[in-house]
Amino acid sequence: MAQFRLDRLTPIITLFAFLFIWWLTPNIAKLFLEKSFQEFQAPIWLATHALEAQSSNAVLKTKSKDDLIDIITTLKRKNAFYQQIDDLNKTYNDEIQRLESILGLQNRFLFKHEFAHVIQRNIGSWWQTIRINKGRKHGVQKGDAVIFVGGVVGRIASTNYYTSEIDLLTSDDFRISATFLDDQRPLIYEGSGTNQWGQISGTIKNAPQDLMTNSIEPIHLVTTGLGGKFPAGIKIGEVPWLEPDNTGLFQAGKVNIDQRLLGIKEVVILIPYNRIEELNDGL
Amino acid sequence: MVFDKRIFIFLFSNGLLIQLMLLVNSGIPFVGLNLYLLGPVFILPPLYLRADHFFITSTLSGLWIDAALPTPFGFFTFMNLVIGTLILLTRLRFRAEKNYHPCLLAHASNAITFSLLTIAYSLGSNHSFEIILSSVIELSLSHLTLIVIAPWFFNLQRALFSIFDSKTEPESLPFV
Repeated sequence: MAQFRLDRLTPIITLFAFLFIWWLTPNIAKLFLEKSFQEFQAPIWLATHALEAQSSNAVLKTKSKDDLIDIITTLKRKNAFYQQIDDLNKTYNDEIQRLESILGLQNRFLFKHEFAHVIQRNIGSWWQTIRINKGRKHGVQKGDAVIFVGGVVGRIASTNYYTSEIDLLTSDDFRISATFLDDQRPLIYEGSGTNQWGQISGTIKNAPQDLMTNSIEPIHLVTTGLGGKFPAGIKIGEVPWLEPDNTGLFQAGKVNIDQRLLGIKEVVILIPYNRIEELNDGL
Repeated sequence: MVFDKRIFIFLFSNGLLIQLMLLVNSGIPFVGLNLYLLGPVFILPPLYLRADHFFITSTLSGLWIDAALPTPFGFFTFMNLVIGTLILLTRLRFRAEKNYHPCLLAHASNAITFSLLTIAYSLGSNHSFEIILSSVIELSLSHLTLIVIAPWFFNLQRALFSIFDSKTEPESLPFV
């Protein structure tokens, strides 16, 4: 009878030994390992983003001078228009500050706006996350609110030194207190991922019974400001229909999210001023 | 040499495939679907390397994927080692120098890891049906793409062996 060779079992023994060591390893060591690998990968993403920017610049250079003159003319008009609005806003802000100082009100500007570029998108059926080129170095922390021109983008899920990962508002893990525009009653918004056609959406719960909506003029869902991370009044999406939920006491419905979120390129991180002050005090 | 030169070739090529996959997924966000092409990463290291070298390669490749994707940290390291060990133990049956068997194995490991991820994410979700439905579409698209990607990837790895003047045959068959 042929002798059973124990050395054939070496790979299985090694596998089980590795799994046992992995199981015994403290979470802090695993976290350190994960962060180390992520920090190592960060320059690759930043370099990729820089290459993309260079290639889009190269494409712009192929445009004719006539095209560029047309673009400059249009931009000049827009610039003049926005300058007028800017002047008007400054006048309004001065007036608001004057009245606030007379009444002794608190400063309403609670957040510093940190602009960031999107360097990676992971939007699929399992996860909806994006990576940006700002991290701990720029004062970004886990849980910070992120917005864009179409409203809420999501929350900072994790930070590295130069990059951060954002959980999009369509992500299954994303929940926020919301309210309808011109209505003060809070309800719960949850992300619901992508459907089979790749469209993103969310759902709402605990909507009051008396609210009505339709697909022609859907009501707008905005943030409440509860929780302190998001300021009040930032758009989340539109609700085209509502139906009684399983309790019968409230209504539930689907939220249509701005589809520009899928191809998002630039975002704004809202960093609380009080944290910046704390950091400055600490230094 | 203590370390086989092919370890570095495998690490480089695996890293390249992962980055390319992420770049493509990052470039097509408007479809809202992800291509999942990690199957080929699991295959050639256990077919070509000695057991200890395979463990080093697979662990580092797995950790690299775990850091790049928002999965629970350790998932791909674990899958890489388990699938790799199974291939390592049965590698006498596969012809590593041709693409037929590695491609079949790549499709199988891609489908296994994809299914596990889908089960894991749909179990913890309130929208399991939507996740499964869109995952089926993602899986179909991924395997269609893999028909082209897998042979290219294996040929690239073998070409790198030749370019860097390393051994082009699987290590010390039939013993691991």
